[in-house]
Amino acid sequence: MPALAAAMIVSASSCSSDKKEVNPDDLVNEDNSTFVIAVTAEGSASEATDYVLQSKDLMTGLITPVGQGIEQKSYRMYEVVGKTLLSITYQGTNIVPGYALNDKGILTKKNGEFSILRLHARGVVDENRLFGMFVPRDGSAEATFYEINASNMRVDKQAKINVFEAANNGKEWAYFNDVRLVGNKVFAPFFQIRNSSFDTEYADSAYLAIYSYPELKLEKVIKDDRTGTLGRYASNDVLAITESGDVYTYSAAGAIAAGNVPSSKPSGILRIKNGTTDFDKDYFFNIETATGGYKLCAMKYIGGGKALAQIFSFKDHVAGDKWTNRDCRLAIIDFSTKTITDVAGVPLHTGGSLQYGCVVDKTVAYLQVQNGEGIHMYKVDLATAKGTKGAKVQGKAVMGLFKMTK
Amino acid sequence: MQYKQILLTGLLCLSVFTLWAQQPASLSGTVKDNEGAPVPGTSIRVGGSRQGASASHQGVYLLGNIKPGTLTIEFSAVGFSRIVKTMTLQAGEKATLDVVLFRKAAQVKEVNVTGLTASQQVNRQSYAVTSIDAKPLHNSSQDLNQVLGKTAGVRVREEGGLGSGFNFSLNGFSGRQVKFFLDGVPMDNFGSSLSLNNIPINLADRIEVYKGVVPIWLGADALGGAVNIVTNVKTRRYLDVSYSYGSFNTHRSAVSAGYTDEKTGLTVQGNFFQNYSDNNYWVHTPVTDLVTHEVGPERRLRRFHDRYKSETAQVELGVTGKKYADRLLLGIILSQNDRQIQTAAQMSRVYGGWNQQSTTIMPTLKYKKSDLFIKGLDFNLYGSYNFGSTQDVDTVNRVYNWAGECIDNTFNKDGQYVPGAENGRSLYKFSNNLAIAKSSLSYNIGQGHSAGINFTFSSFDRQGRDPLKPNDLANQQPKKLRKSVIGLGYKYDYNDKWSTSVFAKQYIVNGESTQKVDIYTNPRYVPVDNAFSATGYGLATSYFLFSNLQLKFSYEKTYRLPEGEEMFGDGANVIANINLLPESSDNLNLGAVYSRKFGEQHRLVMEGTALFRGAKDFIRMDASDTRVQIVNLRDVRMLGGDADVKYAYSDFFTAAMNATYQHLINTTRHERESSNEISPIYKDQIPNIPYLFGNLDLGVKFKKVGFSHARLALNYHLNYVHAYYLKWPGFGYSWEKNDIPKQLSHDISATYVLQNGKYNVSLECRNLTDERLYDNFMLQKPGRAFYVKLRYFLSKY
Repeated sequence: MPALAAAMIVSASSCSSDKKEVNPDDLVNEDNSTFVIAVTAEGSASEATDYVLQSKDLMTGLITPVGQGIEQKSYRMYEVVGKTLLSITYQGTNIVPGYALNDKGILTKKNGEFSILRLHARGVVDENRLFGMFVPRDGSAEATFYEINASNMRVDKQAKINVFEAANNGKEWAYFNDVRLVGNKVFAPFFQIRNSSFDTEYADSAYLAIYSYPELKLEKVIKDDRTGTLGRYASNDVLAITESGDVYTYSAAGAIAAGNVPSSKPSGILRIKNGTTDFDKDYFFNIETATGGYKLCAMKYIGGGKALAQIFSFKDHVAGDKWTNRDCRLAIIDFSTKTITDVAGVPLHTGGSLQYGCVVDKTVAYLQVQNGEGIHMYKVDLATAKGTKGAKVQGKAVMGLFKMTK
Repeated sequence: MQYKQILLTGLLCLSVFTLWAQQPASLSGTVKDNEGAPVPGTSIRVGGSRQGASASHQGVYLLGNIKPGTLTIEFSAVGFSRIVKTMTLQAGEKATLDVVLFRKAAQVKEVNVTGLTASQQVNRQSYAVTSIDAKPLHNSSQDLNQVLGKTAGVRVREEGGLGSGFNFSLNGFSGRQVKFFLDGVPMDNFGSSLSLNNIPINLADRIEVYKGVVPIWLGADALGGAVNIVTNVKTRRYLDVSYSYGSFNTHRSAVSAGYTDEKTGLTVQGNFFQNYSDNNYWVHTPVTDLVTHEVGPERRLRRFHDRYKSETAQVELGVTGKKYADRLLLGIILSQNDRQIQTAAQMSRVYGGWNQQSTTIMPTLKYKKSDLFIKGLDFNLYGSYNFGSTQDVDTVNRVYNWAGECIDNTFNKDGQYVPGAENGRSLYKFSNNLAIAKSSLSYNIGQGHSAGINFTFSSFDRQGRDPLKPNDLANQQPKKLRKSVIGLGYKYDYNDKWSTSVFAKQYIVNGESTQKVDIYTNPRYVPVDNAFSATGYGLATSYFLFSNLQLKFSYEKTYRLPEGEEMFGDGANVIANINLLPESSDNLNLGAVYSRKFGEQHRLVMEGTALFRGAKDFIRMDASDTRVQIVNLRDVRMLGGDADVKYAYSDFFTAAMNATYQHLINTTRHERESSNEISPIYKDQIPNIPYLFGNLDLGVKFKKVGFSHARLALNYHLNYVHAYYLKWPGFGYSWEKNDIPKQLSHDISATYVLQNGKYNVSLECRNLTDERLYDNFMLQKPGRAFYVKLRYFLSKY
């Protein structure tokens, strides 16, 4: 008994809980706003998990999960739907918790959880609803579509979508990477794969499936041969829906990154005009012509017919880049004038993060910039296209960056 | 004990001066203690000559080529009083002489304190070793895992009930860092149908747990220690039949029998056992609504897809006590198992159709010969080949919840068949074609000196295919791994008090595997170079400071080589990592054993071990999502210790307690090679590893209960595991962290024995207070369970 007792004393302090409180004044601005940052902390493989942190500002100091943050059970993805932050399963457990700011402005777990498969495509519909899609890659025939109600923390609707039917060539299947409600249709761009290594023979066209809503019956698949497949693996924000209801979408065509394979077509932007269900034959923005041969990596709509874009800074995409998005520069694209403005003051960084690591706050955008020097927050003045370096983030990745107001 | 057999056993000293004028005589027999148990390692010396022998594991000795005449023969063993016998041998006479040795008064006589007789002998080695005497547990319905889990330093983390996956950890080292042996034979190629979670305790005579430094006779690349299960081979004729039934429709039966004809030396041994359980124990879990996907309130429900069944037959046939072989046995192990899979790595994901099956078809050869070519040279050989296979079957296109309800997606709205699965569509079936050969030579130089060499070779050659993916090139790539470990050891027993072993091991790995390159320009598979070679070395020494206080010290520089299943996956849950590197480690152990008798009735044994480990490229299991990968993770330093106290009052009462504390810290200073920033988790405690745990055992024994030949034993067991974090302790708000909560569980049992062990009945209640137990995050283990076991045992030496 003495040995056990002694050993227990040694460790008695290690699992005890201290005061369970934080000071809201440290985390919440006077206008009741707070930045929410989900950081994947350092650690090897799956012992590394996410911590959801709050911060008043992103421009000073160190954003670190050491001793702070709400621990997640695994590597997650995040989406803010209305007032709810959803921590969406990607690995391990398939339970989705929701968080909301309490009356003090502190992020607190909401009642209720729901259970879904991992999501490869997501699209926020409105203040309450989120579309999500799980896409199989083991040869199973059906993807699962979810309509998630974040206010009630439940799934309102679930449907099966045949991935072979959308691809319609008998050999490969559709791998969706965005799912949006456009008018009364569901738009779902996809690339094709024939195995879990993401091999495909269909890299030279853009594909987008259009489903009826709410029946989710496949109405048509539209195809365009001017560019390659749309988006990248689980890239989301593949579609940019403007205030006028036009849909712009991009292809990284041939930029080997995030599952993308080589293509003979140039990287570019396509349009589907409001009220139509076809690619606009009269619109194509050839990014490679405009940039002198570089390809788009990712894009995020910032309003006014413009988008923040990450453009690869190199032309020779090699096999080793398959799961990277290395060395991108930041630019602002104007869809209608077909112009590209480089953002000054932001170094080359890993692309693909615009979808989850970027928040647009009126005239500025905050985004995480990850490169050999680690991760830093940057503020970009959207009017002047000037970036400013902000806080350092201690961790492996930023998986979510939002501004929430109670 | 094989250590003794191989390294120490054998005749001493080739006598160069012996004249061969007369036909020599020989003398053989057995050495037993006053309780009838063999005394292995007993030294037998012929007076006036340098001739001698030492008793085998079964206590059998043989002195060949003795010059006829009147001889004095001296029998001595550590802890026993020396005996000298005089006898006259005629030319060519083959005499027998059985002797009984008595324990020295100073020696603690242990009764029902785990660690008896043969076990005690093992415990006295210089290595940090614990020997569990399995015989008193033969009436229990436990399997080997449950018995091992009660040992200091050992933690067995089970995923569920009978036959479930488990992770064995020994002093903070886990998975295959700890190697398992059955009678000194590596269990690497036995397959999942023959594993610690399904081998009945009755098969074992005792279990040796080596912490840290592993003696060379085990001849493998163990890094964190080794467990050697020693089966009951000392009895010549025996029959052991048992059957147990218990909660969750659990049926387990075992038949063990052996027969040796003393005249012809013909030997037949057989072990047959069967396990079945529905494992439908109660769990507390929320149920997900299959329509709204809402996670509902917690309910108490039975597991519904966790059935496990296995059947095994092990038969050996051969001869013992022949001129050309002390033992030559040909055998075969046949076994099969069928396991339903209920959950993923966390219980929130539940399955209702996924299962795995595996078979083992494994011929074996065992050969042993003392005095090969020259006296004192002992030779041991073992070989086996596993033709068995494993299949992962996941083709049920349904979604289940914990209430057992499901949505069937096998056919779509239009009535068309839709291929699908629960986890990953698969009918992958593979065979690892694992061959193992192990041989050793030992030579007893005499006067306390002995030396040995050991060679272990294993070959892994995965062949597999999935009928669902007939053209998958990945399944057609070579997946081969060959490993050789050569060990050299030297031991010197300076006197009764001081003994030292030094050893060196050479590790050689080469393999054949491929990886796909130039995936877009010129896709092809190119060979991966896995060749590796390294030398390890170490020392183990022990010294009796007083007759009842032994100090032990050992150090080893060692390597742990990746295994085939770790590099190429198991076809189901474990995914491949062909770039897995060997792990290296410096291990230091410091131990002390103290035993004392107070008066006639009270006995006390205390043992303590302090450990230090510095490991590089720590090989760990990374369990994410539903799949597991074996990866090199970080450099790790461990400082820890365990303590074990046993007390006995006469034959009536025993108490045993142990506690283990192990502090593993991350010593990787930088997270990325390119970065010189100090990692925020540098020196943080490695998460998700239990670091403080202990056991308490109390037992009472009554004699003459009901009948003069009947005994009744009552036992109580308590297990404690301190809470530990799932993720790094340094991150997150302290009140928002995921942990594996503190565990405290109680087991009780009663055993009634008639006719000195011929008929046995035992009743057992595990988890008496119906605690919620977890070994892993959110993976619940069985609640209160009852078992009854009937056993019939007959033996003749």
